Amino acid sequence: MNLNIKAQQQATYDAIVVGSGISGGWAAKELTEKGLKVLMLERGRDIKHVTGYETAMKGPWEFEHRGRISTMAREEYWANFRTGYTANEPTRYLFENDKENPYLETRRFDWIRGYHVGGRSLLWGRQSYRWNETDFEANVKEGLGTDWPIRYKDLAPWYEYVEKFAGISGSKEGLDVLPDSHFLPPMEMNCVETKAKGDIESKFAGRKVIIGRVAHLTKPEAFHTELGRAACQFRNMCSRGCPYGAYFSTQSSTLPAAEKTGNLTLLPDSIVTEVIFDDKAGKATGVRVINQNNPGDVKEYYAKVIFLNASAIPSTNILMSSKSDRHPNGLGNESDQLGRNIMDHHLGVGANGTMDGFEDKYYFGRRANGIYVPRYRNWGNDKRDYVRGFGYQGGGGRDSWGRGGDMPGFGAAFKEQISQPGTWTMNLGGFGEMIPNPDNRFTLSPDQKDKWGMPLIVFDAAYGENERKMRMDMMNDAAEMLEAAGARNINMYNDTEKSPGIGIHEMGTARMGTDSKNSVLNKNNQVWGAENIYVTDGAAMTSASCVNPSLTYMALTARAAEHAVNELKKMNL
Amino acid sequence: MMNRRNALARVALLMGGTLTAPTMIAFLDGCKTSNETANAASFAFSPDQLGMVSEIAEIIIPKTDTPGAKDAKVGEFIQLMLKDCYYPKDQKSFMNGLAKLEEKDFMKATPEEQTSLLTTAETNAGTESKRIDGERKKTKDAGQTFEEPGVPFFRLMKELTLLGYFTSEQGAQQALEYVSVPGRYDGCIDLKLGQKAWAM
Repeated sequence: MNLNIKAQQQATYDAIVVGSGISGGWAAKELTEKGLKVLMLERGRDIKHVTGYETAMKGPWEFEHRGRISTMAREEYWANFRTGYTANEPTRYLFENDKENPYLETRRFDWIRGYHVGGRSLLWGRQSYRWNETDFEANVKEGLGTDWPIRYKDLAPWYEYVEKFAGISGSKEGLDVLPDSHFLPPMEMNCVETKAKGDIESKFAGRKVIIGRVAHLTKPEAFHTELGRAACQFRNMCSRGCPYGAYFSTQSSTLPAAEKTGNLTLLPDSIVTEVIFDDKAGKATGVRVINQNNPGDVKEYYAKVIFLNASAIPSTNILMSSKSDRHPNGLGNESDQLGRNIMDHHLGVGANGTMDGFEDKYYFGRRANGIYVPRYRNWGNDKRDYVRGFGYQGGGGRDSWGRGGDMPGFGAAFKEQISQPGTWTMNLGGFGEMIPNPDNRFTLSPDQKDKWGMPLIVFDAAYGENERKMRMDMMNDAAEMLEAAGARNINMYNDTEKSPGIGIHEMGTARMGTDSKNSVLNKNNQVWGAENIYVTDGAAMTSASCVNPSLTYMALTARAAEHAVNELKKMNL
Repeated sequence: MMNRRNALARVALLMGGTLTAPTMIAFLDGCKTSNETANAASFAFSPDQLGMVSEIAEIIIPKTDTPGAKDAKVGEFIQLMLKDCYYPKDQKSFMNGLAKLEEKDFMKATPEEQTSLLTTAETNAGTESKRIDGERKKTKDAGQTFEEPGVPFFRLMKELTLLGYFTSEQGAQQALEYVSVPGRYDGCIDLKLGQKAWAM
């Protein structure tokens, strides 16, 4: 056997998973557990569970600038800076240096990236909600975008499947607009939130205020503990990485499960630049990979099936960059859909206020979760001058020493006063659905390249009239509800400088659909005309709903993985 | 069913105050060049200025039955923050405010005189902040970009003192209630008499 064949065999796997984030980890877990030899390629560096979380246990004095951002960091993390928190000291090591790895904006787009093993599963907000039936039907009913090729009933069993493994804390509410999950015990509301809930629900028929649904182990099951995960310790330092494995991430959950099978090979520092498509065989045969630390070091890996889970934009980038006779405009791009219909959740709009009473009440522990108000607009008989809807995340709390900046005075009495808990406040921040718009897109720069020789991403997207109209309700309704809850000093806001990307839920660009002429992916998340490639991260999304998307990515991935394995068994791939 | 128009008319529009809001406003203007960042990074107090800043911080947060600003080395922290996290216009505003106190021989004044001088500085900062708020609103309402001026001296002085003190080991652990790993969340409990705020 000559050296070439042997080398090729050593680089050949049953399946390749591109990306180790929240959906890639799931692909690796499912495929390895079903007996496949899997190569997971991650473009970023390795971060080991627990030992890799450099800042997780640090007190505020252990940060040079006490958590604030330096002017140098502000320049280097120019996109991250826009969020107001991702570029701060405790978590910055997990976000991408925007100066070293830039992108281009025809219109402002806040692209917030986490490139390392685990991806943004170490950084996510952990809010986990199912889609409802209407979410899947909205496009076809309103004549926007294209019809989803699946419905809620297709995904429902998979939601349950992933929820059990991930561990979702929440309360059963029996709401059509927000279907219940398989839940671990819910976290508590504090005094002010409970009062607000009572007032808002009694004054606004049909509206609910519930505790947030989060991927935190409030009560680990036996198999969670066996994976090495512990109960949430309520430190609220999640985005630094959790040494207790208490919230769902690749490192805490899917990676140890995959590694247990003995079928996983994980290669960090491996940037996939294209999928290799064999025109004669009519299918993908592997991927081309650049070493992150040495762009001249190019390798190829081969597999029968490929999962793209590099996160929405990079997955579509890979499809765009993979040219062949069969796919001259990029894989699955007969529809010219690649890069189009970028969506996100728009935010930066809502209200806050002070709450009287409860001066003799407090809370213990730092709850990494808030309350949630499920969508009520354009629901039931409600009809607005825009389509789709929004939910609110928010919560109550007592002011701390920070209020001293606004209070006149100084000295011993001042110090004493601001050392005690201050006024109760309550806030409601809206998360709104962005409708699909084919002109909201990204393309690849024809001439500018990154340091690995790959074309820079060029974003060209903006909110439209539907989003602007929705934001008026998001702001006014929040103020109205807070007022009903007895809040004073109500401040309502609508930051009109917010731009797509700020929700850090960027999705679309390789959407699922019913036909190769209207989409990139079929109802099984397979690429049209390259059915041994599955795309199950945000790229696949045909519409956005108003709920946090990661739970849906997990369900799509688990469902697609089963499909892929069955297809392999039937020798269809 | 409440009339939307009435509801809106009754809602007051007030800027909620937090520590970081004006500091964040100071950060929210356009991208800075490397030159400005480099110039800003050469910022430093003279020994006399460091002494005065430490003294002012101690007046704001004095040693009581818990450590004060000097114990927590707040003066040094303020110097570091101005150097690394602020731009020349804020540094200038700070140094101008400091210079005004130097002119009044702050370090040689009696405690009563010092309190009076700082109270004046605080009042001035308040007036200046309101003026800036008004100009910002006028400019933004006209659809134009507002060029943020430097944060008024005493506003910045006080904010950085509070930040430096309450996130220090002494401040967080002795002046506040510091619990590293709570282990649970109790949503609605009684506030014990004299209980301090949670440090984080």
